[in-house]
Amino acid sequence: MISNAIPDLITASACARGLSALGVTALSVRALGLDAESLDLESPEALAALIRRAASFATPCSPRELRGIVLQSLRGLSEVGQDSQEALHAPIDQMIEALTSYGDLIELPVAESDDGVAARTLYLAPPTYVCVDDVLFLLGGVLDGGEPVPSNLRDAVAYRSHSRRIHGGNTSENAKQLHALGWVELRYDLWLPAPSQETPEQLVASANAALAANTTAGEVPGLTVLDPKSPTTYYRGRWADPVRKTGRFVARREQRYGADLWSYVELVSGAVSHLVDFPLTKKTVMMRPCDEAWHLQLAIDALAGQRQQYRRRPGPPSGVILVDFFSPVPFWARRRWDVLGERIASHGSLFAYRFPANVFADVERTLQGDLWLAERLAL
Amino acid sequence: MNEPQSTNGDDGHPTLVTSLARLQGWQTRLDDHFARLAMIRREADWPVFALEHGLSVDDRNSLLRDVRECADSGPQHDVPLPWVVYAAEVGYEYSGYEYWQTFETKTPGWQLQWRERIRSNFVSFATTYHGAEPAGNWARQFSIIAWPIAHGILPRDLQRQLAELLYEGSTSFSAETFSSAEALGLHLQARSSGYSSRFRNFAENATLLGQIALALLLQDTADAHGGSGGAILHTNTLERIVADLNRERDARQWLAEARSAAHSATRFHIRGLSRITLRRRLADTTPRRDRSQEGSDSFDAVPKPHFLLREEVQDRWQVRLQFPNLAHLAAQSPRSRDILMRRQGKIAGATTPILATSRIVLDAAPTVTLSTWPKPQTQLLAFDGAPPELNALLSASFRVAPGDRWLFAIGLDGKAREITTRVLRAGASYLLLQTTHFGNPPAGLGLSVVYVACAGVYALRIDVPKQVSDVLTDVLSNLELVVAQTIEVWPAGLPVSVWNGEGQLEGVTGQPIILGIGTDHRLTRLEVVIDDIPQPDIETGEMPPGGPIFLQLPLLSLGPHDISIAASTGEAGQESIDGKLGGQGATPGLRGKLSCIIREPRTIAAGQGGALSFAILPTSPSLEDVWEGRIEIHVAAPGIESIRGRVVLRGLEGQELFNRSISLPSPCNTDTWNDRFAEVRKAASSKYDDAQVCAFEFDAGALGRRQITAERDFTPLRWAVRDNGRRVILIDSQGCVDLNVSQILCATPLVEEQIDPSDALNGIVVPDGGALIVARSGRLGASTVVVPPQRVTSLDALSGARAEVLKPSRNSSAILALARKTALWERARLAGSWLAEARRGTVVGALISALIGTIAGERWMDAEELLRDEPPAAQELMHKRVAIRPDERAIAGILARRIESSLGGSVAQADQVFLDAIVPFVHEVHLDAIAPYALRLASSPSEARALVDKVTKGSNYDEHEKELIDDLLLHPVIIRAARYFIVATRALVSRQGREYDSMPWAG
Repeated sequence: MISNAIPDLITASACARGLSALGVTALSVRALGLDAESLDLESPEALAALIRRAASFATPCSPRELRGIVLQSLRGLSEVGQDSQEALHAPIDQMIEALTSYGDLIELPVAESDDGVAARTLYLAPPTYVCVDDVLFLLGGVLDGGEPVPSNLRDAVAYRSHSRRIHGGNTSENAKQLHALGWVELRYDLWLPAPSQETPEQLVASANAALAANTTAGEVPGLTVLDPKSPTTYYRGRWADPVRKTGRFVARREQRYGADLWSYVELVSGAVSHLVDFPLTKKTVMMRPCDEAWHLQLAIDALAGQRQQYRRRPGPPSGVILVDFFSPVPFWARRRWDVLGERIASHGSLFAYRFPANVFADVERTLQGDLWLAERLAL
Repeated sequence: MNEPQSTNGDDGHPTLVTSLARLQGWQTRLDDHFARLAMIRREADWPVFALEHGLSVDDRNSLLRDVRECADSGPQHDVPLPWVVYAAEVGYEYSGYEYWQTFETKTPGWQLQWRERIRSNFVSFATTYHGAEPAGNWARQFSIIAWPIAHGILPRDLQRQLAELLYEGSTSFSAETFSSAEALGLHLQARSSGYSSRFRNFAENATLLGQIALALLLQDTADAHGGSGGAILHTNTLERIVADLNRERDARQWLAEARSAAHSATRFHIRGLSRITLRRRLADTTPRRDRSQEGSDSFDAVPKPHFLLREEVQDRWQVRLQFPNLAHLAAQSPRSRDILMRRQGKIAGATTPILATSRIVLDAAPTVTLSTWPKPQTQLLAFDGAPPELNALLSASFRVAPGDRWLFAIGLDGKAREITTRVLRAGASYLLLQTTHFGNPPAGLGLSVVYVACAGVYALRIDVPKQVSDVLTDVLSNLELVVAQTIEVWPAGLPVSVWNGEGQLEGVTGQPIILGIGTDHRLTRLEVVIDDIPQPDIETGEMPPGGPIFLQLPLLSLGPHDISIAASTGEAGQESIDGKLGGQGATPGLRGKLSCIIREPRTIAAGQGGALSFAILPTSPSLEDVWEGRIEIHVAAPGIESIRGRVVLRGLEGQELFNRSISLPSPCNTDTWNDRFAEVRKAASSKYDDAQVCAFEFDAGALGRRQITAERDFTPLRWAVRDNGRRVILIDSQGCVDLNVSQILCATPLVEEQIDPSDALNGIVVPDGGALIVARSGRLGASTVVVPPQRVTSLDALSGARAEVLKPSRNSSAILALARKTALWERARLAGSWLAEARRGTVVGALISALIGTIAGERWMDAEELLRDEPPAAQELMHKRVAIRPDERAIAGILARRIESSLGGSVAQADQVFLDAIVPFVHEVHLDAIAPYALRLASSPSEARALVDKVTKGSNYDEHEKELIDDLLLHPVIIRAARYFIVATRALVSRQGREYDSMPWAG
């Protein structure tokens, strides 16, 4: 008979046996190194681990390919995807984005082999740890689903949404143990780069200067722009057709293969007069075009007097503050929040974080000082 | 029991008994101990090691002291065991550098001629006490020291490497790995290629390796659980090794992880060890379908390319060809490596018909776009000059499948992958490619002709509906396709390595595989057969129709597996879809087949960790390989311009001698590496001779980091440099009895002066001007060019005094002798100061000039004389003097025009360019053999010899080479043309910063 019991990985090895969906979920969650009693495969922790594992086989690959592999693994197991697997696209894509921001996955430009078309490609970061105070943040993984964490430290790993960390114990000793198994240390300041010190005026001015140097005439196929006049609380709704628009816009444009490119364009009655693709600067290899574009949009909105917004909510539990975000932010801000808090399921927002109340002042400094966000009062 | 007395007088010297008598006491005690141990071990066939003497630390020290005190009378016949234990103890402490030197240092009064007695004592020990016998090539080569080192079980300097290997191997431990010590040893041995040459020697004896590994991984737990104790290794000995190993953090961590994995793989319990044998049982040696013991090589040796279709825009598809990575082949075959790293591939049908140099080794899956569909059976990838093993692979596996139709399943990622069946599934989408037009398909059936951007094929898209009509079934039948009403299978829960969407799955050892099974029928029972072994039936209960059920496979061993799944629907007489199985009619219902391949997990060593792309060949270079530029290297990380490198030299005791960081561009290839490393080599030259290990680190920050360790080669005869290059010592690890040692000064590179071998063993002073020092014994040899450090104030001083070389007689014997001497200089190792390379260059240049001048004739010698000081003038003069006869005058001009075209091609192409240029002018039947020989003789006599070796396969090569030289003496224009070709090529390469791809020896 098909068993609902949580199977034991080893005793199950003698012969083939049937499993229920519950049994598969439990076995998979356990094989991912997580607690099968409290998590299912669609929980953020398990989904993140599933994506990391898929990446250990498939990378380098595109985000779409990675999503396809995870979708296949969840087929027949998902509550959400029971009727249509398309319902799973958004949570998987958001988790891939979270893992990329965090540093588990690295998104890099790679020129396609023979046709010269630039594509963005995902890599699984090598096993890496970052020491922040007395906490070790773990990034990346090894090929082919291997378990790189030393066996005696596995129980000490805390999984919070997409992040993994070891706190408590002897941090220095733990770091040495990781190092012995091939983990590399990434310096704190490289993982958590300081935010740009530019004002919105400076950021927009330098982008405009780069744009002015790149005259373009004619039609740009598949162009959509972020409309600064649209409400900042519904990100997807801000993307608009360029028809009859005039001004400078953060934009995306289709390319024959791979994901759309991020661009900064100047339009005159819907016609493109200038165009430059992100990245405009080579600040860091980790800076993705989207990070730079989102940062610029934050500055554009701030200058237009229409700052992007966040919404603060009290817990439960008490002593924590929940924050909703309505637009994407650069990776360095999300990493900072991964350290200070943890990502939680969002409701009526693009993504959300939970922070201990005692660190919120620090979070707010980034929100308002570095990202020029304004607080939206809860309804 | 007769315990040896250890009573010492106040002055610390024995007073009650003589040292000899004490040795007799040790003999008695050890005999008793080893006899008991042998009795226990014989039963299970585990061998006994001399290091398993069971003595406490104090007793051990007493025994060592007693042996030393008797050392000046040599090993006595009546007390062999103390000497055996003593030699094994030296073997345990042995650092791999100088066994006998270590032995002599620890044993005052020891004499060289007693080495053989040590060996015979060990042979007797093996016979009497069921002792271990060294095996493998290394043991044959080092026939004496192999004994004490093998009986030292795990020399301390190898402990760290074994711990690392155990950790690396633990990622693919399975129950089969622990079926015997030999199986475990083979499992580890197959993964030892990236370790030092000395460790690889140690790992040659798989049974010994497995026995030690087994003890380290499992024995102490068995003992702790009340096992018999010391079943594989004596408890004290094992504890001693583990304690030493645990002194280092990394090794301790590796061993802990490997132990954890071993326990998981074996479900180890108290009686676990008793079931593990030393050697594999006969029935286990060729298990059906179980290739886990064959190592990964044979399995990985059949990679194949795959076609992929990608939708450019809607209904317009592009054909791409994805090649497998051939790094594995490059690592196994040096000849293939040279081709794969240095040659472009030619691709049949590609838009850009060239696969860039080294992509097939460096890219995980190099992919190209095809503009033309290759004809069936066409070889898809070819390399000029490919060796037979590479050609065999490309010819057998890199071909288009026969036929005129190819079916592709469109996956969730939007790409279409080729499938080998002709079976479609309801609800899925496909592309069918064929070599002829499709015509207009009937409307409303989910069929549409789409454009494929590849000449020679046409495509039909098939979107199979959930419910398949009879009309569609007929249409598909005309295309030789059927829609399966069979069960649908996919990997569920956990991703697998590869799933092609249609029954081909690749998994990784030790990882669970779960299959989802979907059908639109109500299933009552599943029958699963894996590799012809029926699994227990699975009652599916009351699963709703269409709802998937899931199947967990047992942990499968390495290699291919066939899985058949038959689903009973409870509806009698339902037709089976799979024709082959359906004919058997055993179970009414639905059947499906799955091809499953289990491979080993990739490791970071494969160069595929993170975004840092890294390859080094050979995969485990020696220090000498690195220092003398005999490695190929590639390191790159996307999106960054530079990679931080670090080079660290360490001495025998691990002490740091040199540490330098270097900045490398990304990507960095071999030539760039050589340029950057030259500076490091120069800066480190004073430390090199004392270095035992060179460690490299390549750091691309968050994108990845790689470390490589290169150790000194371990050879029976070796020169060790002392006093910063002022003195050299001959290291004779074999105890050669017919040693011949000589010295040849750089200033007189043909004058060989004999040296007393015992002087060489004690160390000889290197002459100021530098010398080639040579030691020979039978087929063994060691030669090194050494130049003591000195102040260099001019370019002339750099290259040293002009070498005095007398031209030989103009006959083939004398010329061949000169060629052999030149080759000796060319192949010698470099030591002492960095000047050695420059001085050797001067000597080799002078010798080749004399060699060529002798064959080419008097007038040519003027050009050779000019070459050292005025190369452009020499080249011009050579151009004029290639021809003597009027009908030869065009040769130089033709060669000059063709040099550039020869540079980018293969070795074979360069040979052909030269041959084509001289063919019209030289009427000689064997020109196709003489021309390539001349080309090599004119630049590197050792390469010329290698060519002759290859042709003659090692028999009568002297005679064959003499014939070639005779031919050159008869037609000297050939050697003049060859020499001019080489000199002009060097000038062009130097001017343009090009590579010597076509003539790698000429650089």
